[in-house]
Amino acid sequence: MTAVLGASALHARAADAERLLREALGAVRAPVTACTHLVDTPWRHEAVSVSGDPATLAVVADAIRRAEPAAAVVLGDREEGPVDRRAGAREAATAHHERTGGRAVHFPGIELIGGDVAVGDVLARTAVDRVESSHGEFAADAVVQTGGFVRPRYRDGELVLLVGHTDPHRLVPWEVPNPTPCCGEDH
Amino acid sequence: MAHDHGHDHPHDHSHDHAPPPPEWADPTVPDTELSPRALSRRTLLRNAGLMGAGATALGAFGATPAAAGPADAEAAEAYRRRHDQERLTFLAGDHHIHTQFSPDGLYRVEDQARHAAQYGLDWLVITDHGSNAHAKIGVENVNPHIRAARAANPRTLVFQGLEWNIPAAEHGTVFVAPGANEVSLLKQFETGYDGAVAGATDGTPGGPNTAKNEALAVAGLRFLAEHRRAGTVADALMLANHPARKGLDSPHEIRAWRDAAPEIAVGFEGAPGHQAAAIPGPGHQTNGRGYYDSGPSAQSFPAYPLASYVTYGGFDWMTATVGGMWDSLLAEGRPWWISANSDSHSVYGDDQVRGAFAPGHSFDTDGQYPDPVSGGAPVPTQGDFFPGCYSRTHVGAARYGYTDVMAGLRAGRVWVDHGQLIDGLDVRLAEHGRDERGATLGGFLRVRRGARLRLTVTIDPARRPNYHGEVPKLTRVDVIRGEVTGPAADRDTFATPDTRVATSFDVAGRRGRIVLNIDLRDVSRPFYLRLRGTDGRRSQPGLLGARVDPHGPAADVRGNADPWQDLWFYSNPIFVDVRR
Repeated sequence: MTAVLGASALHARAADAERLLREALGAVRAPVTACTHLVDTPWRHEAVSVSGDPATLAVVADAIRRAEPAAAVVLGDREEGPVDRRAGAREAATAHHERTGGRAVHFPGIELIGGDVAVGDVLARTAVDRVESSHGEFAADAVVQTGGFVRPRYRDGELVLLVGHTDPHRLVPWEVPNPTPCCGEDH
Repeated sequence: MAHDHGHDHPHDHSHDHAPPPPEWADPTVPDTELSPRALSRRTLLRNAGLMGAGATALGAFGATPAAAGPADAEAAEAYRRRHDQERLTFLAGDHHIHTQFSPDGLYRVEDQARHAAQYGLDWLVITDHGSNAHAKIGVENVNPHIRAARAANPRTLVFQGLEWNIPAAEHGTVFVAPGANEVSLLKQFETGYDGAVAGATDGTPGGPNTAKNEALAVAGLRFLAEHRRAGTVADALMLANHPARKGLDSPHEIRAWRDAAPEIAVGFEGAPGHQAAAIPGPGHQTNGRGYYDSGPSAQSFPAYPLASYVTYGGFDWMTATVGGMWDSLLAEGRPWWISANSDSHSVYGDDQVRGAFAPGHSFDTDGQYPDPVSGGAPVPTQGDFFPGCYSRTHVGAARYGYTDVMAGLRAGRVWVDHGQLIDGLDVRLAEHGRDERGATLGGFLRVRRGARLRLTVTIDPARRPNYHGEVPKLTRVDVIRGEVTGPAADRDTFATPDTRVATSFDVAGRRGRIVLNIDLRDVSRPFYLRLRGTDGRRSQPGLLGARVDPHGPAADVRGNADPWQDLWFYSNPIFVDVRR
């Protein structure tokens, strides 16, 4: 059985939400999928979600509360932390549960796709359901040049890794680890 | 394939890889050998007394019409006649350029102005970033350098401006006509209305500061409008920069700027700068073209799709999407224009690096960096071009002058290109069979119901190698038509259903001047037409489907988007209104 927890510390930046996930998942060995989500309540911010078996999620929920006491956590009937942050946490959990949204930071098999990986292997060895290019069709034996960084997103029930290509044999992930800052700021 | 961008030789500070002068500025090229567009530019400058010899050969065109006295009456009349016929010369420029007075800048003003002139620009705007140091120190200290650059480059108009941190939004160019108050007005504006200086950058949707900060942006534009009316400066304009880069400019903000001060806020960058950022090579692996390599954040407008965060053939998603954000603004029947600029901070393959501060000095204390010095070798990791090397904004002006360029921008008499794709573009829309010149880019043509119109597009293809050493080859011209449906009911809409590529012309292999005609019969509803052309080397169906745009620009790929292999021009629209 799989459950989903949601959490929100009203983070403005995805990097901070990812750090919270890393801290909370540090000791977890069971297979989980962890996402960041842009949610709307009380205003637009980065919330997080984790899916996995209920026992593991109970441990993760505790770890989140320890790592970030200002975070709200929702998991089934369990609701903790600041009341005004629970709606955002629930928004994230619902999107993850319904697979309509969520940017996966961690998912089963992610450790197996560190470099150049054939699309077939990405699909066979990881939780990614589909590789999609913004440039249309690509070769059946195409390779994804992951560079050790992929952030597939849930969309319409599937975990989709978005890529682009000029050479149909070499796919480049849409999201990069180091987006160019805006005049030295992280806007 | 090797990519030799001509930067593999060492060069010194004073004249790094100076390109040959543009043909119209090259006295060794006689008038008879110039292209029509080049001759037009030479004539304009000659008439303004800026081409040395030949200052006598002009007639009245370009003389100051306001000149008093009976001797000038004839000249003024001749001027007016020419002006009425909209005998325009298109002046190439760039409204988005940084210097050592930006916290991420490098070059001296004189470096940028000299390069701009060498690359054939007629006008440029120095737009250092708004910041505390700039508002206190830089905005004043840059001015003597701008004045010196004006003197050193007499055939180039050098404006002082600012890259405004638009409160709650992205950046925008703000600039003014030169005059006694150019510095004081810019300083007052920056101090009061820059998002970074005023602590008003936050535009989080639904956030506690957003409404207040969005209102500050509108107030800033009204401030400029008031001072323009009062004559504090002869003119002032704002154009939003890299509008879709990080999803920060929501549709309702863009509409609010336009509606608050339509004479100031006139458009946005159709194509951002940093066009060299994704040339394959070291340090560029994960760069997007234009540095469009971010995703949505908590500051972004939530409804913008992931597709909005990358460029298409080097153009911003808002402009590149036929039927998208730009068209949704035009469908309202209101002016909103596009431009294309370098955003030049530090140039791909240049050898210049920042000089060292003296002890105790910093950007914060000085408001600028020391002058650049040679680092001894080309720097391949940079992502920009010098002004005029790749991106150009061509503004139709009847005379050569600061306020004339600004008036042309405001009027939307503008087309833009990349990589010197074409040399000249003239577009006329007129009632069929009438001996009238009709309307040109940015214009409004009013016709009776049932009128028959003729669109005439005259293109002078590139005749000389561009700054990549190739003669660009135009292969296709698209005419895009959109229905004008009135004010948008939803201020956050970024699409319009009634815009599509109406006609495409295959012009591959055509030599000499290209003239294209389209007849539009039985006009019954208001609409607009705009143009797009390409070298045709990269394309894919448009984001709103092949039925809307069968051969649109292709999405640019991270770290693998050579800008010289993917050239486009875009024009601003001509509107048609139908009398009841």
